[in-house]
Amino acid sequence: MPAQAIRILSFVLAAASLLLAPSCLIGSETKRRTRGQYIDVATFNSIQPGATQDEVFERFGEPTTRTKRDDTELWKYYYTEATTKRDRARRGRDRRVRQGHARAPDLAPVTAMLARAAIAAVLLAGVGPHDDHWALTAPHRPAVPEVTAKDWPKNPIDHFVLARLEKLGLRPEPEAPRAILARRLYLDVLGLVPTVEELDRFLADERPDAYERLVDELLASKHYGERQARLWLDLARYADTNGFEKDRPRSMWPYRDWVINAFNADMPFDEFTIKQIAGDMLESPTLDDRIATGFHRNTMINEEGGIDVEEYRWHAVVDRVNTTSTVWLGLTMACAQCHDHKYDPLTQADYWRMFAFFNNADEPEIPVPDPKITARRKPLLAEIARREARLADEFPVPDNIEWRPVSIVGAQAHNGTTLQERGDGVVEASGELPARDVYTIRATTDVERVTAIRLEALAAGGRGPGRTPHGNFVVTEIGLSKGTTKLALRHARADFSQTGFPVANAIDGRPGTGWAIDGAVRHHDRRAVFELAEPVAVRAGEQLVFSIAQTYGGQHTLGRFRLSVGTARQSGAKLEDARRAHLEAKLEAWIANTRAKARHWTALAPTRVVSENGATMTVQGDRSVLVSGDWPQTDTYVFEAATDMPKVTGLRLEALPDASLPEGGPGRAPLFKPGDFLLGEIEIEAGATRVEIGKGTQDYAHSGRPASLAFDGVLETGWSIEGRTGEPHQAVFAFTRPVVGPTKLRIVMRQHGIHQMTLGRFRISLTGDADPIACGVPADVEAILLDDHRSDAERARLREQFLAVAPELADARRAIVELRKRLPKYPTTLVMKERKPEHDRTTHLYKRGEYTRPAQAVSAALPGVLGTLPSGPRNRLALSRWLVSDDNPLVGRVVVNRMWHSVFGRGLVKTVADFGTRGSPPSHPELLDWLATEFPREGWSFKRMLRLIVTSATYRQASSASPDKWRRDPDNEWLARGPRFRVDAEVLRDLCLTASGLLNRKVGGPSVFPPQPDGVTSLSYGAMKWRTSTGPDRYRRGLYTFQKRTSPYAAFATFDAPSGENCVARRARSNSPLQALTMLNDTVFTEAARALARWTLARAGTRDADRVRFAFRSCISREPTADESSALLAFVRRQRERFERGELDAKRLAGATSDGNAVEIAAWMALSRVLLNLDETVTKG
Amino acid sequence: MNGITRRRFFENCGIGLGRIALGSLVAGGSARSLLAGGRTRPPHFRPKAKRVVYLFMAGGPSQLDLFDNKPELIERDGQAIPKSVVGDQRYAFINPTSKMLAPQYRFRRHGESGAEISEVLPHLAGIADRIAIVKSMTTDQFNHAPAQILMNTGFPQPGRPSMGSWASYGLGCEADDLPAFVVLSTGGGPSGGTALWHHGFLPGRHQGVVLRSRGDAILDLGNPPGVDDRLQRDSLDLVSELNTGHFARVGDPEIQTRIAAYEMAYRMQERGPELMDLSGESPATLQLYGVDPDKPSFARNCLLARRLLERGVRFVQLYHKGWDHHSAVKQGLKTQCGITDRAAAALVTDLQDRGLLDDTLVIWGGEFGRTPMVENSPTLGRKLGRDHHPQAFTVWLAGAGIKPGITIGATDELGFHVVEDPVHVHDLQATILYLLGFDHERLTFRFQGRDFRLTDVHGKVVRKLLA
Repeated sequence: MPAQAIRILSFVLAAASLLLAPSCLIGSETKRRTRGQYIDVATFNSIQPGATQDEVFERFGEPTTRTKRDDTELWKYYYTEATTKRDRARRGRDRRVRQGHARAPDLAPVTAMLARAAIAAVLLAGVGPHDDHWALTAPHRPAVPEVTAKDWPKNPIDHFVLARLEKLGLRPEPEAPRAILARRLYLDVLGLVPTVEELDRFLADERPDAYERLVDELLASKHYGERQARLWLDLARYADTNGFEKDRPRSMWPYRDWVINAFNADMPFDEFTIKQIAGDMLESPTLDDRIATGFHRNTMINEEGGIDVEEYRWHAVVDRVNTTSTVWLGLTMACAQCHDHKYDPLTQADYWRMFAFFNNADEPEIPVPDPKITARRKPLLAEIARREARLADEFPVPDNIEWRPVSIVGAQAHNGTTLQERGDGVVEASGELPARDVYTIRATTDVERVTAIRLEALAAGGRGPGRTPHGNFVVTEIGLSKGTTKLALRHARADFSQTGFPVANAIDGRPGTGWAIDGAVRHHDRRAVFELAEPVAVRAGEQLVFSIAQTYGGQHTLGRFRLSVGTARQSGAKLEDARRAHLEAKLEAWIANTRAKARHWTALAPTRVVSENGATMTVQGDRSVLVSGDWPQTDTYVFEAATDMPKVTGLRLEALPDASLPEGGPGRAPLFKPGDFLLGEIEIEAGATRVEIGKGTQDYAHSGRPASLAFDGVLETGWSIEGRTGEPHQAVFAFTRPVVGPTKLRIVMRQHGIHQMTLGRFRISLTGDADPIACGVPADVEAILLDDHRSDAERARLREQFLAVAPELADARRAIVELRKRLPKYPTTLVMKERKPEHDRTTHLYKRGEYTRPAQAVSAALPGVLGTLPSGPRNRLALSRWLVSDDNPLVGRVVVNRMWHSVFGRGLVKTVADFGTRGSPPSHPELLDWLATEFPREGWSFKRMLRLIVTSATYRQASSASPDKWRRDPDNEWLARGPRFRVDAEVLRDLCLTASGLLNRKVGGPSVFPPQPDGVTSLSYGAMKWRTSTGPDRYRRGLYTFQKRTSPYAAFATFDAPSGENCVARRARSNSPLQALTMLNDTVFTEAARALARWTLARAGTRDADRVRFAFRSCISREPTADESSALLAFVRRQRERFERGELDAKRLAGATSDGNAVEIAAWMALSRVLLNLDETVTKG
Repeated sequence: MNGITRRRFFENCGIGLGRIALGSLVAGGSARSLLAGGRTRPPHFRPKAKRVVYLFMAGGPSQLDLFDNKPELIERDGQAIPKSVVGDQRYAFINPTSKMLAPQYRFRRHGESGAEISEVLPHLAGIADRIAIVKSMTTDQFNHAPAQILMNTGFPQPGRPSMGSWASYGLGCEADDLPAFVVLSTGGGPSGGTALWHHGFLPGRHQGVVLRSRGDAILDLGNPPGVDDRLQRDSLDLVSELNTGHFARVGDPEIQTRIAAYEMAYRMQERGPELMDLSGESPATLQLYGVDPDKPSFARNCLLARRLLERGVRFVQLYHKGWDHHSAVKQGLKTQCGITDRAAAALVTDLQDRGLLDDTLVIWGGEFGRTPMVENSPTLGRKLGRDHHPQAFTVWLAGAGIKPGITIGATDELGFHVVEDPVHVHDLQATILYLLGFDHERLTFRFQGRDFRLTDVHGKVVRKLLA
C-alpha cells in the first residue's frame, strides 16, 4: 500500500475513533471541534466495501468540502491532547464498569464501521501514491459523454456538464434573456457593459447565429486585451512602484502594454509563456521579447538605506519561483522553501533547483524607443549639433569694441511699470510691479556704425538689479530695431549667467527661456553683450528701438540698467580673423599650461579583478573595467596586476562614463545621487608591502569630498563627483616613496556609502614621472599633450577639448547643456537579462529557507516528480519551453481552470492555485481534461477557448434559480445555473464609466491618476502626492490606474483588487459596508452619476418614462419591470420637486456647468446614483 | 433569511450586528436569528481581552535611553565595543567597531514595583505599577519596512494579514456601525505603508480602516456635495426596494447581504460625526491627554482610540512615526516623548477609570531597538545617534490579562544581547492572540494550499506576562 494511503488510513482511523466514541469517551469540546468536518457515522455505515469512487461521490454529494483543516494539526491534536483526554475518559469508564455503574461497550460494530470509514476516506481523498496524484499524470482526452436531453448541449462542454447534472438529478436553467446574456458576454470578454446602442443593435439582429456573431465581434475588440490583461496582471503582480519603505515609482507600463497587445493578437499561450519567462534568451530577441520578461521584474525592490541589496534580490528570486509554480504548475512550491513539502511530492532540494533557473539573470532597466519621441528629439539634436559645430565661432574677440551709452529718447513699459531715464543711458523702473512686462526704449546715438549692443544690469544699495526682493531678473528676449527694421542679434555673452538661464536664451526667440543672474553673489552689476549679425549704419537723430521682454513671470523685471552701443574695431572678415587668432593664442597657452601637469601613464591590464559583493566585472578593450550585474549596497573591488616598470611614483584612477550606468555614470548610484560614487578608501600593495600614499589630486571633486579623503583611514569619507556625472574624471594618488619594479600590485577600493554608490567603470594607470598629479583632462588628451609630433586628428582632439573647457565659451556651452536637458527621454521598462555563463551564480539550498543559512550547492533542475528536462542547457529558456510542453501535465489544466474560474466565478478545481493533494479535486475531472487537451489542439489560443466556453449552453443559462437550488449548490459547483457574482474592482469602475458615457477608450500607455479622496497616499512613507489627472485621463479604464503598492487606489482596495505584492490567482470577493460607502459617495461614482444624468437627458428624449428606461438599460441592460419603472419614476419626481422647491441646492449636485438645467440634471443624477448602486449593476448576472 | 444567507452575511459584512434591527431589511427575516451568529469564529479559550490598542512607535525608540538602564555604558562611553559582543551582526549604517554611547538620560525607580524608567518619560513613570515592561524583545529584521511588517504581520515581506486583520477574522466585530479594525497615524506614514494593516489574503473586509485626520473620518463617509440626509435615505430605500424585488426573482442570497451592507453603511454615516466630535469630553479628560480637540495629534488619536474601543472596535492600531534617531538621539527622544508620553499614560489611566482596562489590552513599542554604539557619520551628517538594533528592545503592555507592575527579561551589561527571557516578535504575537482567546497555532487561514497563521511557524505564549 502506498505510503500516502497508509498515512490517510491511519489518520482516518484516528479521526473515526473519535467520531465513534461520542459523549461517553470524550469531552464535549472534542465533539465541537470535529463536528461538521468529517462524515457522520450513519454515512460511514452506508458505504460497502468495494464501493466505487463514483458511488461514494453520489452518496456524499460534495466531496471537496470535507477536510478543512490541516491534518498535521489534527494529527497532533489526536495524539497529544485528545489521547490524554480519551485515556482519562476511558479510565473513568473502566472504573465505572468495575464499580458496576456502567456496562462495557460492545466494540464490534465500531470496528466494522472503522473499516468502511477507511475505505470511504481513501476513495474520497482520491489519493494514491505521490506520482499517482491525478494532477501529476498527463490529462487523457476523455470521450464526450452521452446525455439524455440531447437537444440541450451546444458543444462538448455541455455534454460533460449535463451528464453530471442528470446523474445528480438536477436540471439546467433555461437560456438567459438576450439582453442579460449580452451584458454577461460584454463583461466576460471586454470587462465593459454594452451601451444602449450596442444592445439595440444586438437585439435587432434576428439571425440564428446573432449571438455567435456578437461573440466574434467582441473577441476582435481592442478592449478584449485589456480585460484579459487585467486578469493576467494579477498573476504577474504588476504595480507601478517598487514596494517596501520608499516605494518609489517605476516605469513598467510598457510591459502592461505588451500583455494587452499579446492578448489582442491572440498570441498562443506557449509563445506567450516563453517570451515572458525567457524572452531575453531567444535567438536575437526583439525589443518586445525583452519587454515581455518584465513578467518576472514585477517583483518588489527594497530601496531603504542600510539594507543588504543581495538579500532582497534573493527574495525576488524566491518570489519568481513561487509565482512560476502558481501560474504554470498550480503547485504550492513555496511550501518547499524551508522544508520538504508536507503533502505534495516536492522536496526542499527541488525548490532550490528551481531557484537556480532564475538565479542567473541581471535586472536592468532598458529604454523603449518610441518613434514619436524620436521625432521630437530630432530637431533638438540637430540644434545641439549645429551649436557644437559653431562653438569656435562663438569665441569672443577681446577688447575689440568701443562702447558708448545711448541717449534715451523715451522709455515705456507695456504692463504698468514706470520707466524713468536717469542719464548716461541708464533707465530705472519703479511704481507698479507686474508679473510680466516688456520695456520699449527708444534712443539715439552718435556712434555711426553699430556692431554690438550692451545691456548692463545695475545693482544699487543692496538692491537689484532685478525688482524681485532677491535682486534677480529674467530677460526672456532682447530685441533691436532701427525704425521698423528688425536687426538680428547673435553671439550673446555675459559676465555671469544663472544655471539654467544662459544669456544665449535672451536671443533664442523662445518666450519661456531667458537670461538670469541668481548665484552666490546677489545685488551685483552684470553685463551682457550681443553682436549684430550685420553692422548697421546709424544717422544722427535716427532712433534705435530696444525691446527688453520679461515674459517669464513672478515679477522678474529689470530694475535699473544701462544700454550702450559699440563699434568693433575690426569687422567682417577682419573680425573673424581676429576671433580665430584670439582662439589660437588661448589654445596654445592652454596646451602649454596643461602639458606641464601631464604625466606619462601606462594603463594596467588586471590579472584579476573582483567585486566582493558579487557585481560582474568586465575588462574592456581599453583596459577599463565595466561593472554590471549585481548592484550591492556597498562593495569592495580588488584589482590585481603586474607591472615591469622599474619605478612607479603614482597611480591614476579614472572614473569613466558609460551608457549602461545611471545618468551615464561613472558611478552606479541608482537613486538620490544617480551616477555618483563614493570611494571611501583605496589601498595599494606592491608585493607584500603596503604603499604609502602621500598626496591625492583630482580633476574634480564634490565639495568636501576630495580624493585625499580616499586614503585618510576613514571609511565613511571619500572621493565623489556629485554634480558632474556623465563625464570622465580622474584622481591621482602620488606615492610617498617610489615602488621599485617589476612587481605585483594589489589595489583595494572600498566603497561604503549607502544607496549603492559604487564605481561603474574605471581604469587604473601607473606613472614613473616625478610629482604625479591630476592633469584635469581625459587620458587620451593627456597622452597627446606629451607627444610633440601631433597628427591633424590629435590636434583636432586638443582643440575639441579646449573648446569643451574654455571659460570664454561657458555661456555658449551652457546653452547646449540646456538643450540636452530638454531632450525628451524614452520611457523605460524593467527586464531580465541572462548573465554570461562565466558569471553564473552558484545556487545553494538554504537551511530552513533562510537567506543567512546557505548550505550545499545545487544546480538547476525540474522537481523530480515532474521528470527531467530534455538534454541541452538547463536554463530559464529550457524551463520555459518545458512549461508549455506535453511533458508538463499541469499547465493545460491549470490555465483552462483559471479561465473557467474567471467566467464562472469558481474553477472546475476550486483551488485555482493548488492542484496538489491538498487542493480540491476537480468537480468535473473529465471536462477539465477535455479542455486541457483541447487548449493545445486549438493552438494554445485563448480566444478560441474563451469562445468555446461562452458559446456553451452551460454559460448561457439564466443565473436565477429556485431557493432549493441555491441551497443545494450555493457555489454553483454543478453548473445548474448561469454564473452570477459581483464584478472585479476595475470592471466596476469601467462599467460605471461606460454606462455614463464617460469612458475614455484609449488603449495602452503610462498609468493615470483618477480622482480619489485626499490623503490616501499620504499615509505611506514619503507621503506621495497623488496628482489627479485632468481631462480625458480622468476616465481611463481601471487597469491604467497608477498602482502604488504601499497605498493602493482606495476604491479598488475596497473591492478586493490586489496590491501587486503577491501573485494572486483568485481574488477575494467581499461584500461590505465600505463598498457601499464607496459606491454611494466616492467622487468617481458621483461623477459617473452626474454624467449618466446628462447622457440620459441628451439621448433619451423628453418623457420621464423613456429616460428611466434609457438610464436603467445603460446600467443593467435589461428592460425595467413595470414595478421598477413606477418606483423609479416616483423617485425622480419626488426629488425633482425637492430641487424645485429649493429644499436641496440643485446646482451643488449638478455641478457648476449645469447651465440653467440644474434641477433636471440633479433629479436625474439622484436617480442615476440609485441605479449605479443596484445589486444588479455591480453584479455579472 | 435562510441559512446560507445568514452564514454568508456574517462572513461578508466585516461589521458586527450589535443592535441593528435587521427585521426591517429583509421581509420575513428574523433579526434575532441573525443576531445569534454575531461571532465569526468561536475562541479557543476564554478571552481575557475583548479589544486591543497598539501604540506602534515607528522608527525604533531607543530602549537604552528610555527603559533599559546600562550604567556600564557610562563607564565605557567612547570605547570601542568588543568584537566578541558584536559577532558577525550586520548593521544598517554603522561599523560594527563603533564606540559605545552612554545613556542620554538618567533613570529612576518608580512605584511599588520599582520599575526603572528614564526621566524623559515622566508620565509613564506615574503609572509604572499598571504596566508590564518587556526588556527582552528581539527581532530578525534590521531595516524599518521589513521589521515593521514582521511586527504587524508575522512575516517580513508584505502580503500577509496584519494582527488586527487576524483579530477581526477571529472575533468579528462588536459594533454595528464601526469597523472591527481601525488605524490612526501621526508623524508621517510609517515605512511599512499599508502592508502594516493590510488584510493580506484574508477577505478585504478585515483590512484596517484608516480613521483620517483630514476630510471624512472614514473614506467616503460623507455624502457627496449637495446630497442631504433625506435624499441619501430616500436613495437607500429605493435601492433596497429594487434589490429586494430582484432577490425575489433571482434567489441569490448575496443580494440580501448587499442590502444589509448598505444599511450598515448608512449607520456608519450617522455614527461617524458623533465619534469624531470631542465636544462631549470633559475638560478634565482633555487635560489628562493634553488634547487640543481641533488639531490632529498623537494625543487626539489616543483619545479617539478610547472612543473607538468604547464603541465596540476590536483592534485599534495607532502609529506614530519619529523614533528613528540616527543622529542626536537625546534631542530626538525629548521631542518624541514630549509628543507621546503624556497621552499614552493618559490612555491607560482613562481606560482604567472607565472600567475598560480589565478587558482592553494596551501595547506600546516599535519594530526594533537601537545600538549601544554611537552613530557618527560625517558623510551623512550624523552625530551622537544610535543605529538600528534587532537583538534587543523594549515594549510595555497593560490591561486585560497582563500582570501589572512587572518587568521581565534582561540584556547583557552593554544592553546588546538578551540574556534572560527572550521574547521574539512571534512570541509577543502569540501572547496577544492568547489574550484574545486564540491558540495562535490554530487560528489559521487556507491560502494557496497552505494554512497560514500570524506567527508563521513560530511563537510561544509568554506566560510570565500573564496575570
